[in-house]
Amino acid sequence: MAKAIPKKGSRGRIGSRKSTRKIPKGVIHIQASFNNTIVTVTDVRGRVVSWSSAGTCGFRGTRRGTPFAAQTAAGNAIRAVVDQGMQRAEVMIKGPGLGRDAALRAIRRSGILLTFVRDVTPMPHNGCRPPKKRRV
Amino acid sequence: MPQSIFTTNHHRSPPTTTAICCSLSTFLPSLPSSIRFPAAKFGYALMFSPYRSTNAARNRVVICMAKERRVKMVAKQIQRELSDMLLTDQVLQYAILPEAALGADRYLSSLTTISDVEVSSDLQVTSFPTSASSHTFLSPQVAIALELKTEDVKHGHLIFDARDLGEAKPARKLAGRIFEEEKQRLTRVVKVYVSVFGDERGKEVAISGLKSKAKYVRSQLGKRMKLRLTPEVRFIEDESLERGSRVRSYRILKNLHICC
Repeated sequence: MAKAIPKKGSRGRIGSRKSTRKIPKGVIHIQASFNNTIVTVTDVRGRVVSWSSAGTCGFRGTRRGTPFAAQTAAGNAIRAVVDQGMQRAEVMIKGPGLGRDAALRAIRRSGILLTFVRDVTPMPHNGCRPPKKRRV
Repeated sequence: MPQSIFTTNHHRSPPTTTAICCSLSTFLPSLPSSIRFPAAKFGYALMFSPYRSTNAARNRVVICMAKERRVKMVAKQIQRELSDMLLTDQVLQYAILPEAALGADRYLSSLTTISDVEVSSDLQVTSFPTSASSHTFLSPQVAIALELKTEDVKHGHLIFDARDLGEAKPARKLAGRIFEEEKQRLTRVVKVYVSVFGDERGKEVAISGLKSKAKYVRSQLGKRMKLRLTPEVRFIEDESLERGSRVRSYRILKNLHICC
């Protein structure tokens, strides 16, 4: 039996439609590892608005872990949300890499007001066994 | 007639006798630009002795050098360990951020990152001679003045006449003086470049806090890593990240092949 074609104005929508919403305040998450930096912009509730990483910016291999790559990734992620009207942001930093400092400086230079900077690197209260020590 | 023997040791481990290794890399910074040292890239041992003997085994001064790749690996691992310590160690966190000790660690006033680690010396020095009678070092200028050619190395040994070095004084008299100079040069130092994001006061507090905990960091590094000799840690403020963030010209950086 053929499926009925939904009428215009019915509940379902054909195709997706990007929702453009104004977000005056958001949260920028920076995950900085030694090999890469990922910058994610969300609203205060945690819903992702845009994201970017050193890998998606065209860097490959060891260049992904450089501070310049982190700076570029932060710039790309913020560019999308500045158009949506984001003025203030809180920054949450995770990880030990070089991208912590570089991405933060890029965010400050972009014109967005940094309200707070927090370090949310996961700290176990002696939970899972960590991987074995690297022998150099 | 004293002779000197060069032994290439990159195929086997350095001798574990009382022979002492010193870093060739410590000689290189003092090199004038006109003097070249072609064999510097090889790991080899220079052995010299003041005794006048035709026995080549006794005429030895040992210079060993770890491979450049290994030095880089160790520097990278030291960077990882120190970065991890900055995040997990409470003593260091209280030194960098004094308000964390009062409980105000939720919102940071400054952010400290280790941007680079530079190992300034070799990794293989194990011990210093108790007496300089049997072994001695050549002064760096003398050692570097010797122009080593790789084709002269036969079966891993290079034999030459010490008179070619231009040493006017007998080597035995030089032993006592040279030993102290080399001992100071052989102390391994690791320069840790630290970048601090924050205001001027936050930067000063972070850097001074790290410098005050240098000995603690050295002891912790020795516990975490397996090194023959734990290096002395020196913290240096790094402003290159701030300067780099001001570089806006994408084309310049693309031409430098920094970005794709």
